[in-house]
Amino acid sequence: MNCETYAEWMSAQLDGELAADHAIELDRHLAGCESCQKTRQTMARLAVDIHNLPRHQPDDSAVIAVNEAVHQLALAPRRSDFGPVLDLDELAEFLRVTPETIGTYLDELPSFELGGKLLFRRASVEKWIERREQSILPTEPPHLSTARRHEGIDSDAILPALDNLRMIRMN
Amino acid sequence: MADLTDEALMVLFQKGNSCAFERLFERYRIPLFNFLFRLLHFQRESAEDLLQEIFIKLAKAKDLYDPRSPFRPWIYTVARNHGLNHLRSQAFANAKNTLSFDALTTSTPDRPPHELADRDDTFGTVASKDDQQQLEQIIDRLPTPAREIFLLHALEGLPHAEIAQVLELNPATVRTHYHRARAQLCQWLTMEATGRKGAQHEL
Repeated sequence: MNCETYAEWMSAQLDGELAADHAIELDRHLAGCESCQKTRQTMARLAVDIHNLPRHQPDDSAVIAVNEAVHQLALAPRRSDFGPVLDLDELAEFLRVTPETIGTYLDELPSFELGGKLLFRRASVEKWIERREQSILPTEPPHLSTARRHEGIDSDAILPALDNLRMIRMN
Repeated sequence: MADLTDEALMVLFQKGNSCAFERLFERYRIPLFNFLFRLLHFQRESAEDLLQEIFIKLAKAKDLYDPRSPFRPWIYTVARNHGLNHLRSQAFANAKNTLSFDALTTSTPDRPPHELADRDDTFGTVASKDDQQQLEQIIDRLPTPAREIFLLHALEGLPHAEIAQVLELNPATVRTHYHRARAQLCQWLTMEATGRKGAQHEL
């Protein structure tokens, strides 16, 4: 056994990974080897010195570039050029919900299967939306009828609220 | 959002939450930059470019990440691959310019190692700048994959099991390389200290 191997054992011992029989052998060697005693001291100090090494910071411009790129991606316009037949991901994008949400409505969404793939006819989906609108909003929601009692209510303010309500219920 | 795991943040980002991505970037920008900076032999600009490239690619191809797999070894794998590709392309470019790979990896960083500790954008400095500079240079001398393993474990705090995933090695092999690297560093540090004492004695 040479001193290089004993140094590796010292490292393992510092991390609590050295087998008991090796620890006994290492102690026996250390008692008579001045060089390995120095190595052990250096190793103990190395742990502290490594801990104290500086953490280097990337330049602000790199950080700004990443943040800007992410915001650009987040602001990217939504797709609107859908064809007559949609797959599940396209339908999710079309309806502006996640594919998981689509999954919860699969039993009522009009669909067909082709080549093991579930597909949706856009026209059928739009009809489904219309049916849903009629069944969900047969009368004005209570909070809107209350709002209308107030004089000077702006109908332009109500319509977005109605849309929001539809979207919330669809989700 | 601060309490969420990396994996949960990635899932949120995959669903379109850009704040979740910002949080991930905040968590990883300094650790990944330090890893890349040292992996690239202190080439600051290249490390910054790669950091930028990695996160922008990640933002564009967020669906490539499988949320069932742990995020940290995954992102370090991406960083390591980018870093090694960069070193290879530099070696190729330098070979074409009849420069040797040794010259590239040991003496032509954007900022020479002796200037490393002079920057004011570092923190946590306790030991003397000379000692830190010497230690950085000695770690840089370690061969691959011992150097990568040492950087990932001792400086970035990744456990051996995660490093094994990053480097596609057996965890026992990673452990062996790590202890060998630490023993080698101690040997070099002892030799340096002996050399310095000898020089002082001669003066």
